[in-house]
Amino acid sequence: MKAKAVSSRFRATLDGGDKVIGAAVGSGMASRHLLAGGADFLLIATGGRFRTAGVPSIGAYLPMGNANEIVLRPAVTEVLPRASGKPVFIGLSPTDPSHDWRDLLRQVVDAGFDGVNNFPSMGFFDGPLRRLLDGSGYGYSREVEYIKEALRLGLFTLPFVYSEDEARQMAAAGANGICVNLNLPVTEKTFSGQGIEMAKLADTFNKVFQAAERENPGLFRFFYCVGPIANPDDLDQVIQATSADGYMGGSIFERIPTAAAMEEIGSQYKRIIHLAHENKNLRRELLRKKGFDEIVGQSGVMQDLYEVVNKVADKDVNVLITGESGTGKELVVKAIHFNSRRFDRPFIKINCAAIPEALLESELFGHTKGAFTGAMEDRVGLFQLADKGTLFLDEISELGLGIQAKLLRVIQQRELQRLGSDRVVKLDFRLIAATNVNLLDLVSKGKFREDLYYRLNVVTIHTPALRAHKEDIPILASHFLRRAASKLEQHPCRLAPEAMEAIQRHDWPGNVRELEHAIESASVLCSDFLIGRKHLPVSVSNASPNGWEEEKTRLDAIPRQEPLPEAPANPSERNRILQTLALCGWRRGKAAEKLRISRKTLYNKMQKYDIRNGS
Amino acid sequence: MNRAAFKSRLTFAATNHRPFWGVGVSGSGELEKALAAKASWTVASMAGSLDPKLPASVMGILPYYQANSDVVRLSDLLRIDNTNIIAGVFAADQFIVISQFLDTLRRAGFLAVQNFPSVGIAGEQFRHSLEASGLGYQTEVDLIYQAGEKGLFTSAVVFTPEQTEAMLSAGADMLVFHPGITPDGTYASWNQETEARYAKVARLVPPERSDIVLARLAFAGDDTWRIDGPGIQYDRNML
Repeated sequence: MKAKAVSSRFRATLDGGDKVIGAAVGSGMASRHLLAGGADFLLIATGGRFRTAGVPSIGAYLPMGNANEIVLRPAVTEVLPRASGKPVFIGLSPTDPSHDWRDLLRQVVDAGFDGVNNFPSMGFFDGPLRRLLDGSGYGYSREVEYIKEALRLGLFTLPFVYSEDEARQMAAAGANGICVNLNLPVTEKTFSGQGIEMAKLADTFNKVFQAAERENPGLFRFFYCVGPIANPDDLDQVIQATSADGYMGGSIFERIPTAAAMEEIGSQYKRIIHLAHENKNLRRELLRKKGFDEIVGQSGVMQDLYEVVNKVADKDVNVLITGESGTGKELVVKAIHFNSRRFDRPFIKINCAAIPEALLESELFGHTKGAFTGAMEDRVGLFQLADKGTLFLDEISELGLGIQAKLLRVIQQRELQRLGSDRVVKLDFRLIAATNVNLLDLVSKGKFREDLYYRLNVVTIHTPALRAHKEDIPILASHFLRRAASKLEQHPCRLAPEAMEAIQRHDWPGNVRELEHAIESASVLCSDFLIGRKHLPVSVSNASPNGWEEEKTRLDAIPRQEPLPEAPANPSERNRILQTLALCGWRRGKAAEKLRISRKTLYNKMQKYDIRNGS
Repeated sequence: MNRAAFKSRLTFAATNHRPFWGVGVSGSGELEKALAAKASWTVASMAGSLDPKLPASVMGILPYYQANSDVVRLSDLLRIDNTNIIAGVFAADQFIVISQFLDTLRRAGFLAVQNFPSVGIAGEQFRHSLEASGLGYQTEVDLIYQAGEKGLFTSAVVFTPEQTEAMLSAGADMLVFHPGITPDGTYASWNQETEARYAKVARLVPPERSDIVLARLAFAGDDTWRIDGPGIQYDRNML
């Protein structure tokens, strides 16, 4: 496709009522996307390469490399292959002392370009420097010669012109078109220092067009988007006011829109990563709180329990939880898991008493299809499901000796083989076991392996019977009253004094679980949200344990529970608030929205943590 | 030899060499000729080799070579003589980190740098566009400052009193006044007008800084050097 074909193509576009749009590109990527966006032709020139490198395109006029060498290779390897059948022009400088411009034009023809222009152009220089260049053989006249030769070789020519005189010269030389370039860098802001306005710009373009048309009325008239033309609205103003057949743009297509878009997307991803990290921390905080929220009690016995759980949680050691039924063993296991490093990994619970022994091995270790009768497909065992997380074996005393041996091997070697498979699977899990039976007693009777016992029992945590910390009953009752209200979707009930005395008197052999059920039952049965003694289970309302009077005296001697002091300042919350404020440019409304709290709460927290702009 | 010795040698030359002159060199042949002709200093730059029709300070800012990578290659000249070669550095180069480039020059053995070529040769709209794009003269002031901080002798090409003040603040050891281009497009010669402009620049040097070496750029064939005037740096190798 050469000069005639390009001309026909441009003419057809104009006859269809459109303008011809050219994109001055610096890369294959820009070529592809701008053509897809509707550009009618491409110009690959050094300015585009500099833009792609993050350097202002005016740098193409400075000694940072040979202009022709910089553009030739990527023009051939990146832009031409992405032309999609549209014309591609290349900008060359015929005043390059290192290359014969005639050779360059022959290379352009051989490579398959459709046209040329003159970039970097000596016309870009002005003042005394320009006059010195003109007088030394580096003038615009050489570019006119170059365009004539290009025409002779059949190439389409669309030279840059910077003045009416240059336009006349190029038109007289027979150039197919001219592109008026006013030597103004494109900026996002109006080039107000020059006092250029759109109307003046259009007027300047028109004068240059007219100078060219007097020499050659049929040539194509383009202008280059420079200076104050920084968006489509500006361009439209200028187009409407000129007789241009089209325009060419570089920064307006390649740099200005992409710079803003890239900064925004980079910022968005940074915020997402930051928010994801914050979310993870927040989730961890919530889970931590959740892990302990379910365990209620402020007595010394419970404080000791919390202390042990805190110490053990983030140490990757096996733990054995012992305690009567209903004392919250599973709650303690969860508190350990959610306060450990594995908090966001699987938590797998197995009730060893609930699974028939015949199936237990398969449940735990998995099996392959056909490993035994009924094994219709591969099955991943619970150990593998717990990989990287916590495996909780409840009622571990119920394991048969055979399974105990296999369990021991898995715990020791941290690997297993599925039933029916030779493949060894490496495992990484934390094991917590629970029992309400005295395991050592079972060991002495030969019903539990001693070596397994010591493997499980790196740390033992004992959940106390409720009767051992009766001073926690009121707070537990209050907790279960709220829970029952939530479950029953009603207002929370209150305990009448005689009901409170009854529940404190009772020994609760079923422990906390029994208390919870009693409260829930009473919440259903009571009237006017007031639980009397008669609403409690008979075993509770009639309780009269030995030593109750002594116990009552002891409980009465415990100081009334004072309201908990305000939680100490949470350093991670302070950091979260600071970071969110910084991200939002210290706009409190936006920060409150991101933190999902009210503005008032944010102000209160800022005061609490002494957070000020600049802290 | 170090910066102090380089400066000391050049200061001595300014006082005792007759005439006191320097020249751009772009190869070993030119350097040997310059040394044989008793040049007091040389400026390593390929700018003068591209086309003899143009002054090196004009050819030097055109986009037909890679000024800075070429000067690194010219470090070979230091094997011939390392006592008076100044590396010509294009400060507005966007493809180097100036600080690291200066380290490269030091490792190569250069003891001195000059902001050559200089965008100060350009004026009007082109110069305005360069300044607006961050490719202006300030990059050259930064170069001189950083080079001084790294212990290099610094020779600053200046065109105006304002640039001179900036370069003196940046710690330049030597000032080379460029007379610029006349309005009709010729290299400004040494005459009453250019001498007056030079005088304005020279007056900005504090009296207590007589150690600052003064010179002016001149085109080939300029034989107007005077004993009470600045040294001459020839803007093209005419040897």
